[in-house]
Amino acid sequence: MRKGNISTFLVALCVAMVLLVRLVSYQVRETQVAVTTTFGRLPEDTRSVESGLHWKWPWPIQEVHRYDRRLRVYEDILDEMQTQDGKPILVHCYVGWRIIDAATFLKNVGNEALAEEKIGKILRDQKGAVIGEHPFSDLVSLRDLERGIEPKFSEIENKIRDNVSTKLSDLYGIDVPIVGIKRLELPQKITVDVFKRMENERKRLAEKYRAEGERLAMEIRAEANRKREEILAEAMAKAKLTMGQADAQAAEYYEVFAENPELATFLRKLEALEGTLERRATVVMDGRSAPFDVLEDPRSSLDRIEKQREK
Amino acid sequence: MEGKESQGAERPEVIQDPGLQSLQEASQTAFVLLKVALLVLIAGYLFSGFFKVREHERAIILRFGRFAEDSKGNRVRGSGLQSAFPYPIDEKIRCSTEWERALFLNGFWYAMFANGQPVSLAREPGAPPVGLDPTIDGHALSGDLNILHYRWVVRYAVSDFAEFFANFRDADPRTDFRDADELVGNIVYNAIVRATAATSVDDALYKGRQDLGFLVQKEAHSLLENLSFGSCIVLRGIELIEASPPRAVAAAFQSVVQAENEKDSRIREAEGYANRVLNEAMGEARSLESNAAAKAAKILYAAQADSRYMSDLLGKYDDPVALRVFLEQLHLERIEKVLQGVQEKFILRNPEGLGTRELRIRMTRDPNAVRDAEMQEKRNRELREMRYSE
Repeated sequence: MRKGNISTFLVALCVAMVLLVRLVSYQVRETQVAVTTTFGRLPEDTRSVESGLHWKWPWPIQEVHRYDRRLRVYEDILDEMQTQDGKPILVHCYVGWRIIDAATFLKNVGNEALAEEKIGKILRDQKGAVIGEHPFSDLVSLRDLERGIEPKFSEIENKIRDNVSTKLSDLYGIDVPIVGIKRLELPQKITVDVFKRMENERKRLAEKYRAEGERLAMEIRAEANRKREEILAEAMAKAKLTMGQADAQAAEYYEVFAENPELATFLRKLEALEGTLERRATVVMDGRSAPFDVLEDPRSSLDRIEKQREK
Repeated sequence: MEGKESQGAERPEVIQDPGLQSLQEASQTAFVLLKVALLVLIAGYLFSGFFKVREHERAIILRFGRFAEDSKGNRVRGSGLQSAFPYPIDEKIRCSTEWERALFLNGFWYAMFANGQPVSLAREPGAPPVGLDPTIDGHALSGDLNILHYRWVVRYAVSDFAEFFANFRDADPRTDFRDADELVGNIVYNAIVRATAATSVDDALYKGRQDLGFLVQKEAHSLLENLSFGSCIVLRGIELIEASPPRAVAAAFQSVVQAENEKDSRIREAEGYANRVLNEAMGEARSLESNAAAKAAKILYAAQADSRYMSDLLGKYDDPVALRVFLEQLHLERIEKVLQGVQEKFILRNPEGLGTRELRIRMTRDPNAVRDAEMQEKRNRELREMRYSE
């Protein structure tokens, strides 16, 4: 019985301790930021507490207010604004925000819907102000390093973020790690003009390509013709050289002709006869020339033979 | 309870009712069972800190709300048996390593009816162009201030679950928020706007699509890196699904593509011509050269033969008369041979005393007549040959 009483007492003590600890402590998760109020009031120098186990006076003396400190994304709408050089443009931004100071947030905002409303208002003002300080070419332009023109999104977005962030963190305990431009568009009536310009540009480009094709093709052809002439001229020169060399060499053989030029000429004439008279030629010959002289006057030939015989 | 039961045990003889006795026994058994169950529950509670993490899972432990690190200082636990303190000291949160999401970004596309017809263009058929309505049609602006439409997809995954859990509500299994999707989507939209604003429309639509993709990735990575917790998300890929010029000027863009193709085909044609001409010229050059070489060889051989023939002749016929006779024979032989081949032969005699006479020959230049004559001759020759063969 006595032993049982001690154990019962110990169990009871344990339970009581757990309940007591539960009453005077609270946990804040990694994902939260919290602040305690005393009798519903937030003392002047209250700091918000980070994650972990913390102590407080039991309810109803102190009350814990937890806020989710994870990232939220807020998007505004496409707003028409003007750049520094007076050009209209539609800008749609997004904001990544989170609650970092639960005390300030509790004091000045209270809930997330209200927070988004305030963020929207501040973002809209700052967006217009910052865009208005930059020329259109800081948003849309091809990189031209000589004239120092290129899109300066980082600069613009960071400026908007810093401006928005300063206001939000001081007033509402909200941190803004990122502000960016989600969409950048042109007003409807301007898109019509842009379409016209784009069409004209395309026409010009198409003509340019056609002309370029024509010109390049012509150049290629002319170059080919020039090369052909060059190759042929070179080949002709080579052929002439070969022939010249052959002629010179042949002349050496013809030295023997010099021993009896008449004979050489005679032999050449005979050869020429064959070469010049073609099949379809018409030949008119004197009947007195050989061998037709035998036809006309066989006797005189026979006489000459006889005379020779006598000799 | 205990008191009552012990009283009942002191006076077993008084109550002889067998029903009451069995009730007493049953309640005793129940009490033992209850004790065992309580012990099991307590043991279960004490051991509830042990848990298993499967192969494709990771886990984090929150101790009094804070991340609890393991012995090596890691906040994320791998697969296997893991231990923690029981609730409410520790809280276990599991996550899957296969967590990957794909977001389709259609914000730069024009609004379409179900039949695929763009809303802005179709609103008033035949009316002057209405442009793009920013409330429904999306578009992107290129660096040369052209309007174009895009569709992109981004895939991302979580690389550090603890950091992800601390910063995004998506990680909490009890909620269905999509903050990470929104942030990643917006960052990629942001990167696309940035990259497109510095790219020409021709590069974005045609030639430089790959470079544009790289630029978007670079921008998105740097935007994410600028966030203190950005490293917990890893972008697995950003791809351009479709890019198109506005429908209102699509035909003009098509004509440029056509003109470019035309240009290419012109150039290819010219290159083909050049190729052909050069090959022909080279062939011609080769044939010129080889013809010249052949002719040269012929000249040389002929000269050689002629000179040999002449010196043979001179050596063979020392006697001038013999030479003369041989030459006359040769002459007659040649004339015979030549005249055999000649089509028309006229042998004229002009006896002395008849004076000058005139001879007229009419040369046929009519090609038909020539052909007829040739045919006739061919037939004659065949006849001759037939006769020979007979």
